[in-house]
Amino acid sequence: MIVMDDTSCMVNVARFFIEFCMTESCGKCIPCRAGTAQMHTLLTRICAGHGTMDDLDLLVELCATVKETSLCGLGQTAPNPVLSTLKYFKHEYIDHIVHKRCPAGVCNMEAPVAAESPVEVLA
Amino acid sequence: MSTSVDVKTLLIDGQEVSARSGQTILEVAKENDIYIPTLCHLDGLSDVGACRLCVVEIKGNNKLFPACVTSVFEGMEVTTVTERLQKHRLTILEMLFAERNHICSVCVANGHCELQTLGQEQGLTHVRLPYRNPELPVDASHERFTLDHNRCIMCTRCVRVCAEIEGAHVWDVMGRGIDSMIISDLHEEWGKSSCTRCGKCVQVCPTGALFDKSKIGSDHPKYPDFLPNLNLMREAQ
Repeated sequence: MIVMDDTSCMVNVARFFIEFCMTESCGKCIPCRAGTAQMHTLLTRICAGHGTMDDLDLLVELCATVKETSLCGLGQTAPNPVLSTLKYFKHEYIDHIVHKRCPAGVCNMEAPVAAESPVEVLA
Repeated sequence: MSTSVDVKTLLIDGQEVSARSGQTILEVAKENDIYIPTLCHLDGLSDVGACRLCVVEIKGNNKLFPACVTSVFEGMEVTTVTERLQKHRLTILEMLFAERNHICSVCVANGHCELQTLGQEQGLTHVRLPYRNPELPVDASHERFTLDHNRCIMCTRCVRVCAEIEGAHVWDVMGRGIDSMIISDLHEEWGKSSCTRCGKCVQVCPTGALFDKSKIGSDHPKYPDFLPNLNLMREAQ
């Protein structure tokens, strides 16, 4: 158990733990190597306000596969922070995805929705 | 000393089979024509249990076990196809396809790729995960072969065949996690490494990561079946 107050964003906390697992993964088995990296990408996306509800479903599926098929304890426990935060603080994920708002004020939602450069039409 | 063989009886997908003590589930399944999808496993090489595609369920245990490295025991009840297993296998394949660059239509191994075959077999219709497309180098310094890191799935078959069969141990793994890469010698160019030019790694590579330069843009079938025969011949000597 970890004690935190309302100034900690649960999505950001999950992302922090997954980032740790991603860098600590040895890379031998696929679920841990690629799975933690994919989860990190999805969580970063949600933190930046670009996430969708489909991303959340995908995240849950990734958690299950990484947890059940990883070779060692690192991969088998890597999805736990995501699963716990999803279990107790799902509303924070929804806030990030649907309302583009970080309840703790940690995530920077100022980022533009699509980082595409404006199309220039040259006649 | 007793020469009797310790025989184990077990059930695989409801089929009663017998096995010798110390055999793996995968070996027994193969002997009995029961198919279990594999990727990092290759007959004739040691098993590492890295790809996790061969995971099976064993009755009485909620965990999943990789068939290639799990030994049989008396009264074991193995299930190789369930909805849960298929889902995990598909997700693992999706992760592999999204990890580097696996665009089959422009790959030298198109039509002869084990990853592609597995995707078709397991019914992978689309990849939902974001493609990572990392920028990885292509090592074409060798006079006969090329290593394209973008197609590599880190099955380490090349590492094992070079160390165990050829005895040269040119290949190894560098770094860790998502950044790990196959390297020759101590991260030297393949052409300048201690490679013996035997070409075994190219034949065992399941994808288009290792390929013969003379086959670029054409059909590039691989023949990893030589390994069990080679091992048999060596044992006979």
